[in-house]
Amino acid sequence: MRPFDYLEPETLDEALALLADDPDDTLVMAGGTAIVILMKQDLIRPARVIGLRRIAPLRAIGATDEGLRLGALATHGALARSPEVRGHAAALASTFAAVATVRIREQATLGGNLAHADPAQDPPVTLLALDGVAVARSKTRARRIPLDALFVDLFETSLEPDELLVAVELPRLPVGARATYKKFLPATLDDYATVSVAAVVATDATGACTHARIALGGAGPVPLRARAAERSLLRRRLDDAAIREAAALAAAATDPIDDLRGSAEYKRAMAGVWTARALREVA
Amino acid sequence: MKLDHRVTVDAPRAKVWAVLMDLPVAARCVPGTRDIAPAGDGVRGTLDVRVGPVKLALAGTVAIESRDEAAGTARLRADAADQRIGGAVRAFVDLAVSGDAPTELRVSSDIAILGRIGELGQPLIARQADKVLAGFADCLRATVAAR
Amino acid sequence: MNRLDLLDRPERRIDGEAKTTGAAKYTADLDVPGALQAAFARSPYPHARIASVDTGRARVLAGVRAVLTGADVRGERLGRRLQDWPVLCWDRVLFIGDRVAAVAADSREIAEEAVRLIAVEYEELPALLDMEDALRADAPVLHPDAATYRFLEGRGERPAVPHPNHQGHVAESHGDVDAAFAHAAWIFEHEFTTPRIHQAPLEPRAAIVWLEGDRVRVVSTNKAPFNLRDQMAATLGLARERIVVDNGTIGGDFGAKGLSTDEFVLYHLAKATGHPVRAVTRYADELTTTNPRHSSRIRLRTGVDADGRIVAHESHALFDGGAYAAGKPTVRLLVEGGVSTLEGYRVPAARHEAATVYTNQVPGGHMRAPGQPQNVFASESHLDLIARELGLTPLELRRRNVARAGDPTTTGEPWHGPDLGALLDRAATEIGADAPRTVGRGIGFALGVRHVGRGSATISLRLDRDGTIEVRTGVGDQGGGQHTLIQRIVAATLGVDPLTVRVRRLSTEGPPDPGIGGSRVTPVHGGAALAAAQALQEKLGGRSVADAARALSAGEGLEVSTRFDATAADHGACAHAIEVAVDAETGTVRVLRAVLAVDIGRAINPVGLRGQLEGGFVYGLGQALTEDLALSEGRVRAANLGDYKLPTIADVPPLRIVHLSNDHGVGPYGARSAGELVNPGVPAAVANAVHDASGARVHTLPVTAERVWRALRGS
Repeated sequence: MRPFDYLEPETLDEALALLADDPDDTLVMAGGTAIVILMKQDLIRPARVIGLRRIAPLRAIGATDEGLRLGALATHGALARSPEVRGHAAALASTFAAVATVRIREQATLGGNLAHADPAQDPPVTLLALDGVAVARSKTRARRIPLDALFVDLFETSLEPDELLVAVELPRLPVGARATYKKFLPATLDDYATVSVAAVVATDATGACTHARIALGGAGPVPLRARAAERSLLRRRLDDAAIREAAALAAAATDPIDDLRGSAEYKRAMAGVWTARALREVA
Repeated sequence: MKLDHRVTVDAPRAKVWAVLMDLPVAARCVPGTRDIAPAGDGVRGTLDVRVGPVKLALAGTVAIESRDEAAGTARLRADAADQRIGGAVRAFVDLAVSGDAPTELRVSSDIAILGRIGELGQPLIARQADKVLAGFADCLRATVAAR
Repeated sequence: MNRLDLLDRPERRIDGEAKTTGAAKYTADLDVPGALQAAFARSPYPHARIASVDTGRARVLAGVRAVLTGADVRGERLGRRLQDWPVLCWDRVLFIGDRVAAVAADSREIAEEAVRLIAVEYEELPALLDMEDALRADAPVLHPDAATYRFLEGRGERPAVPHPNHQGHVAESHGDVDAAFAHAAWIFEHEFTTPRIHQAPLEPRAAIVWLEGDRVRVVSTNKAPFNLRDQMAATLGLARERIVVDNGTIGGDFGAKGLSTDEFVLYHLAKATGHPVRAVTRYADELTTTNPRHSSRIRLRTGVDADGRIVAHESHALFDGGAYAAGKPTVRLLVEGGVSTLEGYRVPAARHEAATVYTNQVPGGHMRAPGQPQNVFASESHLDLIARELGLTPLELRRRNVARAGDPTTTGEPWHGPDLGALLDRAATEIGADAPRTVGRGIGFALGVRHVGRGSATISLRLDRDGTIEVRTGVGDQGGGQHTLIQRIVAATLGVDPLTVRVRRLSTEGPPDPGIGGSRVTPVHGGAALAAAQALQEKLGGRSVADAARALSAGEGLEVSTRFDATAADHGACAHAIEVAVDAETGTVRVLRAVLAVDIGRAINPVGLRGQLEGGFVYGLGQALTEDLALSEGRVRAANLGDYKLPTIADVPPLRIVHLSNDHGVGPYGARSAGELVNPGVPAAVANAVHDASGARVHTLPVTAERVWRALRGS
């Protein structure tokens, strides 16, 4: 690895000020699990690295009046164990528990995961299905970015160079909503998903669907919402025909990459299979 | 790695052809290019491109290897190297225009990824090439329309 | 203590403490003052002529001490048997990753920066990426000067090959094969393919070379230091005695560490700079430019009689050897375990044709049971398909055909080894083969046999006055427990506590040693340890070790040195039974449980043995389900272990190992080799189980979910 300047601010304001000095040549590091590998391989060569680990408030996880707020520096392990996260949606806790291995989970953070924008990652998918909103701050601004506007392309977000992702907010779910995350791992259990699906639904007393969210991972350059599939479920009973139709629409919404984890054709078909499985579980 | 793209431009074929063969103009239409300057029969310049989290600066040349205006076909050759990661890209690009207002352009690329850039993975690179071509198509339409 | 009681007790690994505490020094860890770091410029093309190499900008970079190109080492080629791999390429490059220049610099970063500043102009040549293309009559010849290549002495000259793009070729037969086929009631023919896979040791290759007076000092991860010394002497034109090769702790091997490629140019860099020079292979380069297992295409044809008994068999096997044959130490330049298909069965007449082929791909090498997994996947899948065609259970077909003592095997040699029928029966019983099947679940079988290695080694013992015994050997320990094995055999034979027996590995300054490989160490070095201990016992003249030690005067020792030849033919054997569940909607295969019924004779290191058998199983599981070092246009697609998928502990199913051993192996105390016994049979057993569970037959490894999905859909 090449030498670089390393800064460890104690507070968020200090971090934002440092970042504002030279946003373009600075790399922000949270857990470092993704970028340190790239630095060791000499694929990225930052002149300056700002390490965020001392900014303890960004680790907080807590309920708010509107729902749940997850601090950007909360680790996957902390999120997987958090009673608040489990209380909001057990599927979210299990999504964090499904990432990589224990060594990674105790180091990698929520904010690092989202800002890295690896399309094969797990948490963005479930967070997307839970209508997550990223909270971004710069020295001079604060803004809220719905997650489907955060992911722009492979490893690319809509964050400005001087912005830090500080939290993710999740609105309260409709009463009786049920959520699940399905990670399809056909090779080894420590792998990235070939495809993954998060589904959240709620139904009324008659069994008609009042709320539907379907998000897909590994199915395109960014985590996707299968909106046509969601719409097809509304006001319908979640019977086999409805689920099959939604699964087909979800598969059609994908734009997968042909890679070592499967051909585009296979991934598209699997997006359909796992959407159906996810919906059957929450129906 | 072979990639195939089709672009439809709602303009006369001769106009599309003229823009394509004006290499400095056509090169500037490729998103991410900078420092484009004529060099011999072709152009040189740099293409800034992101492959995943990695930024490449591909500096090199593009030249017309052959052209047949009557048939509406041409072959370009692009050679560019990234000094930082260590690696190069070499592409043969076959252009074929057909139809007339709208004019259909077919871009068939045979891209060789050389050296360490290849470690980033072909799927990512193919995806990036798709994106560059899409941006080029938009710019081409605008440029032709402006002439 | 009774000697066999000691061998039954779990061993305490000699290297265990240093490795688990992190104290062990691997080659990359060794502190050699003033050592420079090397990096290499590599070809981005699978086949090209080198038009020019401009090192000007690299040479002037601060911290760069030397830059060498092919022109500086023109004519020097390396290899384990056939020396066909240029130390640095000077006229042509033959695969992506072939080296054209080397830099020694003050740090790795500087060396790598200098490599980026080297400008090489290439003229691309047509690449031969496919074995069939390479063997066409009009194919370009990749090694037109092959006749001038050095073939390391030992067992004669390089055998002739029918096509210049063959590395090795063999056609051999026994019995009247054509007549036997003519009389067969049924004839079956199938084709199977397997991809390259990587040995994937935790520790990548590393080496340090420096000059010390007249001596060339080498510390290397190579597991056969004497062989490396001889290869270096031949390539570099130096007297053997001038080169001293030593090891650090070796962090895994699986065959990879038999081939060294950096040490040769490190010698030149050390000479040019006057400094020690170190190279540690980046893992991406391990995966993309070293010597993986050969990919294969194997066609089998078998005739059986009306009762399903094999009467005739033939095989045509092609192995992609890539750009160089240098990774193969065998005289025929074949992966020998791939030649004799249907091993372990009674085959009255057989013809085998096998070849390794030059292509512009990464060079193939040796990996845990070279050639055998390819062979066993094809053979045992073929047998299952035949059984289904005949309406027999796969188990019944195997029972009717396993070789019994003295039966002609597929090579024509009579069978020497375990009772294979008993192993199959036991595996079947343990897995519950007769129980009714659950939908979506299936059981697959495979039989694996592996020769017990032969060869010779020298081991010396010295009893000191304090009662300790020092063992001196030239063999290393790459993680297989070799030194512990030697220690325990000496201790058991002399009736002493193993802790009083120290094993000291000598560099190549000691007596010659064949090194690790070929399922050799247990029978050969274990045999030598036993013989040396027995020789020392003789010298004791009836006294106990303690009494004899006390009788020594200060500085005096009782020494013996024994050279031992292991010559007897023998085999270990393993019957695999594996149960899988197949998800028909996705094609996903889950291995639910597995049984290995093995006969490895007597265990010397019981814990190490379990590790070898369990590890061999997991190793085979990776080849069966996930490992694929796929190339695209000559480039390895997986440049890291995130994409090249090895199984993890979470992927390992419950595994039951049953020993049917009665200490009748030809090794010391009736031992047999175990390290290469289990992995070859696993892929076939998995593929057969998938067929049993789902009806999907996959003829290509690995058996990925997508392949099963496609087979089920007929696409």
